[in-house]
Amino acid sequence: MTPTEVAAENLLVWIDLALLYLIVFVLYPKYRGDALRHRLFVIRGELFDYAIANGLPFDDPAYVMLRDSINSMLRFAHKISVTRFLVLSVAVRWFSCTGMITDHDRRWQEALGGVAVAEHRRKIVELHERVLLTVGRHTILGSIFWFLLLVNVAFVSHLQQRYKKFLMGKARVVEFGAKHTDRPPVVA
Amino acid sequence: MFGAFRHLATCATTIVIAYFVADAVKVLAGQETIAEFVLRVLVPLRSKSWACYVVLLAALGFAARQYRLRKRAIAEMARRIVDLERLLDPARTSSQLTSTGDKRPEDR
Repeated sequence: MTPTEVAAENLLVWIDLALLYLIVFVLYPKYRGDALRHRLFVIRGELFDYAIANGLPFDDPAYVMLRDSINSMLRFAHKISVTRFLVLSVAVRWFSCTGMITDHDRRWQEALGGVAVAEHRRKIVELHERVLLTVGRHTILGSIFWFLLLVNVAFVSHLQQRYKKFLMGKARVVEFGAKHTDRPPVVA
Repeated sequence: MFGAFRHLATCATTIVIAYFVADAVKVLAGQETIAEFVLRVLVPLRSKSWACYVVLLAALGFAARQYRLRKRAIAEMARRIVDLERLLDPARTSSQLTSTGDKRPEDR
């Protein structure tokens, strides 16, 4: 290859990498953010429809808290990521902000306790869990790095289980053999 | 803090890429025009995989059209839903997103 061709090959590799970067780190995260917002809008719509159909008051503290929570996640969906979650977790411990989370949990439990109808409470809890699951799934699967790490961990864990099972099988055979070699021969 | 870190990482990556690209192109300086270089060297090097590039560009174009269509549909339908819900719940709270469902400029 001439020096010109080598230079051209280098240039093409960089162009390919730039295209890959555009798809993986710009377009795909944008799609993931929009997909998360869509799922959260569906849950918020379901909460509204349930309130209308079943007479859950719009000023019920649990309804208001859940709706506000979904609204916040919708607004900042583009900022939800594993990295931010990890940094936030560390910051909460370092700056002793656990009290704020506990306080939020306490207010949430109080609001839930104040819901008069058990069926309404059950529905609000179910929708709240769906919100958390949706955001959790987005956090893990939204990042290619963390997703590959998770797959890797799951694969290694699976292999460990298989290996353990294999060893146990072999050990059982050895145990069986040891038991039966000690016995006197059976006389017919 | 996250924004500053992100900008720092982006700037550093851009500088590194610019350095390597400049290094790759330096050898060609003053030898031929860009058009000559593209036609004589780049195109033959990728002649076997041109179909991939065509498919990639077509897919990106199709995705961009779909994206714009979805944004238009959101803008048209969301307003109607907001108006109807506000009839039933005048104190209805909002996610503060734009009419197309995108983040607000100040939330970047």
